[in-house]
Amino acid sequence: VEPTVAVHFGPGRLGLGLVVDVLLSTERYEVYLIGRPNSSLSERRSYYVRFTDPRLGMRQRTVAWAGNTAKMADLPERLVAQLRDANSVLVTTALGEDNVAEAYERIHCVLQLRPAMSSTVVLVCENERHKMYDELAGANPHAVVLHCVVDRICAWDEESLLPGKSVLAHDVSQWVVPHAYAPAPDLSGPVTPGTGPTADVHRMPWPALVGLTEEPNVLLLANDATSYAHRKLWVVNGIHLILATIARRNGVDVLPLIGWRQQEFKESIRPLMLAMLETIDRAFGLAVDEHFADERVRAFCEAPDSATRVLRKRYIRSDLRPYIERLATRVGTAAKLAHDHDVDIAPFVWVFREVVEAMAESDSYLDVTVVDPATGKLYRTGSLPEVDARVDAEVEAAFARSLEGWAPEEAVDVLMRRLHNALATWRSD
Amino acid sequence: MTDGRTSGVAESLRALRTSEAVATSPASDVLVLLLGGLRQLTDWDTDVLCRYLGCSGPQSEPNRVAHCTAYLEWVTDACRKVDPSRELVRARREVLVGAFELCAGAGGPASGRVARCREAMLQPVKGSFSANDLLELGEVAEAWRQAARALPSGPAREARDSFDTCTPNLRRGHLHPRRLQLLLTGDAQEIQNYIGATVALRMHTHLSACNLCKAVAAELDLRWDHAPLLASPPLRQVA
Repeated sequence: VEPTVAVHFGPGRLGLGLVVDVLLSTERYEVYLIGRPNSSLSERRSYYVRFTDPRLGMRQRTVAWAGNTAKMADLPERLVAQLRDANSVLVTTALGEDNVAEAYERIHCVLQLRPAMSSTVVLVCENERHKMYDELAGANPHAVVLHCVVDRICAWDEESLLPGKSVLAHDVSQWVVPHAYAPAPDLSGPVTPGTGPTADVHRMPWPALVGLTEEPNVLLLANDATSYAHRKLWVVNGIHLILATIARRNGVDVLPLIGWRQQEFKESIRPLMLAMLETIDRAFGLAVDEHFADERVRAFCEAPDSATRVLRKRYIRSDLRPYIERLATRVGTAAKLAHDHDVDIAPFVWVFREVVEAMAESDSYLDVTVVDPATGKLYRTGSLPEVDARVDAEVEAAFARSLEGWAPEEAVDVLMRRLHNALATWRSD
Repeated sequence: MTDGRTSGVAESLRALRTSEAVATSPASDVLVLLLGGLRQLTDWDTDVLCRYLGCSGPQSEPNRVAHCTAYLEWVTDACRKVDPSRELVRARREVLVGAFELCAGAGGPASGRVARCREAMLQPVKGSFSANDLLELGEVAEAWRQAARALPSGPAREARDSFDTCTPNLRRGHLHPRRLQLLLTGDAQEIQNYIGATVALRMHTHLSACNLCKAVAAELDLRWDHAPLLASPPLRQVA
């Protein structure tokens, strides 16, 4: 079988550790890797994926071509020719929120090379939805742009002595592709992806996705992936945020938790995990899958990481708004839906209490103390953070909003007072 | 004085001093002096201070004045247990808001709450230290948790018990790992800024006697037996 051309934008941890790794595993794709034009590091054709489980060892991955190209003229002629011909092409992206905006032009130029009648699928593999992709879809109606749910803990492998990039990855992973099936040929009238019949023997995946059908960690859905997206956001990202917050409060910065700490955390987080899964089942019809959740918690507990990295740019005393926003999207929304679907909300109240307890530990903020993830050494920041009462007021307002509509009044009163007091000790007013 | 919020407390204090019931007694002066002391300890002005003390303004009834006096004395005692240095003003503010939380959640008649809180702060829980011991080590947040655990009943005790059941216990030892790390790796200026010299000495004394905290230090790859400047025994002991 002639391999399908796959162009991947974003050779970061997730891109290399999950997306490209899976594409190469299938042996059905010829992968081209495109990095940032202004990157100081020239992309190499080869990189390494080492698994946290030593029994799984290390893989060397080699793509057809890799480069930090800024212009179409920099792309290899072979790729340009393949983009211009009628065969199907897969484009994947895993850019991360800091790089998404600047990548528009380059992805758009690649899509513009595609003939209008040829099958082109763009799989967006980002943790957050970004409007750039909507603009991209609008400007390229001949391409099918699909927002995937991707999940694998990947980190740069700091211990690697090998040349080029090396990713440390956990074996637990999932790549969910929504609207993966093309409209059935016998359907009459206009059909948009995902609105037709669900998993149907008469429907085939988009040609560019056929190579992914046999891959065990890839789930091709006929309809949207809302339930999977919520499950991932809450059970993976939400619990990760809570783990980091609790660890930080307790002065444990270097993850994973091991031994008795791991056991303690697993037992404590279980009620929340089950409440989240129950909510997803009742609200979106995705059956409770305890194995999924157990595997994610196992991944947190086995993958090297640090609370500092998980909370970076957010758990900052001078401006806690980004942290509270994360808490709201990852836990607050889940709690509201749990309440609306008669799921026990006690585990969600517990999470907010954990957050307030952490905030009362005034040296726990990342602009007060930081821990070098490599050495585990603690550093104090040179000067104490500047604290603005107006920003604190917004933090309190956002925190209150995230409790709205689900938390018992009594709990809200206590939480709000504790948060207010914890923040107030930093100010003179 | 402990069951509500108000503004304009400075004005209220003036009113208190001219109140008929107490103007002739030294009680009002005691309150004013206690508030002045707490103002100095926390670097908060009177209005802010009273807001976080939960002060509802002047009380002219002798029983209420006695209660307020007991409350302020207890808060002052608690604030004085942590490091007295100028740099540690935030720690004393944390003590103050923690005291309000504990007293508000102590349950039972308001008149007996301060006594219950004082008693609770003396009680070691589950073989660990008392809240007062922890305050002296600068472990403010943990001290208030411990005090809530030691209350015989009331909302604060119930909330603490329920939280303790849910939360993972990731810590061993009495000294927070971050403070321990700073104590054993920080320079003198950092220790002065973030722990305070008085508390640092107490921490060293504690560390030399506590196997649990030594084990935590060892886990962090810290040399607890390596004595930096502040670990020196007080001069009178040397003599």
